[in-house]
Amino acid sequence: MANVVLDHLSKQFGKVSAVDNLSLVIPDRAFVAILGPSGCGKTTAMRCIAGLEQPSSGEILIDGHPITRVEPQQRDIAMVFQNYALYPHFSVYQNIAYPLRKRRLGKLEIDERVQRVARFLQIEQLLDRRPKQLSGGEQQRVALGRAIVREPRVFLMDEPLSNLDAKLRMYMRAELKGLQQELGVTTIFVTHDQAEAMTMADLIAVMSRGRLQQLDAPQAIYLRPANLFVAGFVGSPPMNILSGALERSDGQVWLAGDGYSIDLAAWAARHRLPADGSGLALGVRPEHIALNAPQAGDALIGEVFVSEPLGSEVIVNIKLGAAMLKVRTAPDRIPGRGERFTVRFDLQHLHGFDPASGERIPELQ
Amino acid sequence: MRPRFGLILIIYIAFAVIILFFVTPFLWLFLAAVDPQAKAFIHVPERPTLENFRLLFSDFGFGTALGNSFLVATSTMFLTVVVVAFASYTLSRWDVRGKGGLMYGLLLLQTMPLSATMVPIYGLARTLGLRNSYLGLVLIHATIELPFLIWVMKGFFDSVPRALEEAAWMDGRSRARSLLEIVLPVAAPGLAVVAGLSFLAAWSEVLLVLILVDNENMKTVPLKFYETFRTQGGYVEVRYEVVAAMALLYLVPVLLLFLLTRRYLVRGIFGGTRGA
Amino acid sequence: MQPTRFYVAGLSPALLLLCIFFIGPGLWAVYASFTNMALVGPAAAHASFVGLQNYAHLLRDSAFRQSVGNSLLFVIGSAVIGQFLFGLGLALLLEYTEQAGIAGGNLVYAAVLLAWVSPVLISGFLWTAMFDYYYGTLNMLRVALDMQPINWLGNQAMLAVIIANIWRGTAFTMMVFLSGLKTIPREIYEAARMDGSSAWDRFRDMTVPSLAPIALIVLLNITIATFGAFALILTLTNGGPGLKTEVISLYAYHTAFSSYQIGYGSTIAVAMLALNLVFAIAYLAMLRPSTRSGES
Repeated sequence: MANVVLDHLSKQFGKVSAVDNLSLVIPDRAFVAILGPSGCGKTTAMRCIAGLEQPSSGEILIDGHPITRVEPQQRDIAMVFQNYALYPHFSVYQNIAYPLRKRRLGKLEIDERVQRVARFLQIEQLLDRRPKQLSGGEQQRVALGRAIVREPRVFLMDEPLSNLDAKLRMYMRAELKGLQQELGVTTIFVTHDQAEAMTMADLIAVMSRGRLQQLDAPQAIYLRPANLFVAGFVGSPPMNILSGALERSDGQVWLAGDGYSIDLAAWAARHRLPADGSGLALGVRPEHIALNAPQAGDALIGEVFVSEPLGSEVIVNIKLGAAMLKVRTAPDRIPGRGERFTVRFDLQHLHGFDPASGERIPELQ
Repeated sequence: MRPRFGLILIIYIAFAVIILFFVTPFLWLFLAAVDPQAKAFIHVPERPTLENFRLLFSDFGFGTALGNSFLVATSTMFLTVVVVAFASYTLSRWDVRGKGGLMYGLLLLQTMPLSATMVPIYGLARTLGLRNSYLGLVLIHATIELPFLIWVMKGFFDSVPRALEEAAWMDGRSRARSLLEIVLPVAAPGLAVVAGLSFLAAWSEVLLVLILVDNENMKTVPLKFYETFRTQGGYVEVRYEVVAAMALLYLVPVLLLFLLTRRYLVRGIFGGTRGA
Repeated sequence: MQPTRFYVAGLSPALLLLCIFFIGPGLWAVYASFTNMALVGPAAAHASFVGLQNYAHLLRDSAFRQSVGNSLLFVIGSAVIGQFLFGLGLALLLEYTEQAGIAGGNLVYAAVLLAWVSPVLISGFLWTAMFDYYYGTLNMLRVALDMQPINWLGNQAMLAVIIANIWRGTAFTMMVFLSGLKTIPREIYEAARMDGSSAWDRFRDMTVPSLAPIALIVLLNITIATFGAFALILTLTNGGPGLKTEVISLYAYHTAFSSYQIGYGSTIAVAMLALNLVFAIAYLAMLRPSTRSGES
């Protein structure tokens, strides 16, 4: 059992709070991503778990045992660095064997384990080479091998795919996920790439400015973002946000925006709404908007600004009042500039947020 | 993890000892130079005075020596900079077959100490009538520094992209003009390093002056200095206060140069292979 | 102007100077070593060819042998052991304190550097005062601590010049090692920590192998440089007492200028150059892989 718990973890550098009261539970055998833009504190948090940084306050526990004051050498955690940090003066074999040196294992056993790991990662033919003779992908495998050979309780990976070229990245996403499932070791990785986090992780912890924004499975994060930040960060193209004031009268409820007015009666019935006249930010994903031929009497009519054909779909940029929406449409037709469409939102996938706090407006049970 | 207090204490003690080791002789120097009764040990003067410095100029002919040193050092500096600039630019840009051999030869020359060639240089200088002449001192000083400084300056020129000059050539400028107008300004820091180093070397040079000069009026500071505390030296009365004052004045340009160019000095030297 | 002519013109002043005042004298020394040139005596008027006589004398010359021994002692003591180890230690200390956020390293660095940039003569003079038997700072300290004063420039002359040279020259090795330490990527130390290594392990497995290449180069470099050292010993002891600190360079100097034997002095100089050449070639062979510029 190797679950990892962060309990009110905080880390300050001078006056700057890199990690602010972070609490997370990472279950055993899970593949967890810590996702966020640069500077959000994700790398600092991971380094605290590794023991390379000392938190200013808070505890880190593995299997219920606090390790906050334990040296990194004793934590039984293996880390794959962003730049791999391979020992340049050692061969690949020696790099992988290095962690085993301190463990009083016989030469035979060390050799056996190194060979096993090399076979597993398909790098046996590289064992005699030096790191600088290897390609990026090969170096990553060696770094992985060095971590795997230790059979640790927890794996940490710092931006594992960011140094690979695009094609290799796609390939390695599946490889890493498969690897983790086969090894069954609790793994925490840090990334700024939301696609990476979505495709690889069982659980995503979204961070911004040192604080945890949401901890959830990828689909939950995508379909029910907890706040405006998460809503905007995850998903490509990003979620459309329409801002305005919430108005109510005569049984009607609508969002009064700049140049548009959205009927919210059905939606409002299922949500706990803020007071009338207060601001509301409505979020809707590009795939949850439908464009139809405009008919007289339709309330929401938008004008196409530009279309981006992507092959499998077309992203239409359509102006609604003062707002610009991105809509996913079928690839058979590319709307031209100036064309007009009725815009219809899928009410099941409409997200409401408080513009001041960014928090999601909760559904009524 | 922040180191333990005990370790920090040990480190500070080490720092103190090291600084003491390196600075104490200078400390003595500063104190002795203003002390009318300076001794060989560190002693804070009761009545600090500038009298020693005055004596230097009146009784010991230091003014002449200082003037000589400045003359030789600055002349050497100018000559060296010009010769080095042209030579190292050539070596940086010219793709000729013997270049590798030339560079190797330069490196080899760098390792030859003056103390090995001083005897024939003496003979040569005597034959050419260059003894007791400023010209001789400047020419030979400059030559000694050439291998190292050419190497250093070549490094600076190498770092100036060829594209700059090629653009100038396309615009119709001759090689010489583009060197002067375009490349040199960019490589100027390197030239500053070369100038500083050659000045420093000429200012400090004692062996060469020792064998080439015996004319009293031509002696540079190091020679004068050496004689002053040698002839009065040993265990008999060394007039420490005077010699210390001389040493201090001798040191001042070096200190100034050092303070001004500390960062560049290190960077420049690491382009080359200079020894201790 | 044609490029070739331009380049030739650019190179000629330097080449001219080097040939006349550097290479020329070197060759001349070889020539002179086969003669009995002198500044006084019968040979002064008409120097004659004496073939290998000087060299034969050299091999039998006990003073020469002693000077070689002194040079060896001086180089090993002050460079190989002194400057090398001290410089390495300083570099490690400064790098560690900088990493750990301990202040004061800059002062140490500046102090060490100051001794190196000062003219040699100043160093010689300062240490003459420090080593003075009756009133030098060192002996005053010893007496204050109830210890016997040491006759630094007498009995312990070799030790004294070694100390003075270490004081003077350590900055160079310190700078080289510091720059070497800075090129080691921080991350491999962190990776080594994660992999279970202790501080000593990291030093032995990461720092030492990374420094090994430049250590060898710098060692050869300071060996060559110290071998030619002259002015420092001249001012401190002038080779004495007796021949105790007479290194090869001083022996050549005294032979040529005190005894006025140019021919024999040249022989010694040639011996110096030859020894120097051997070290220099080894040194350059080491340097070659890391020399980026200049190789065509």
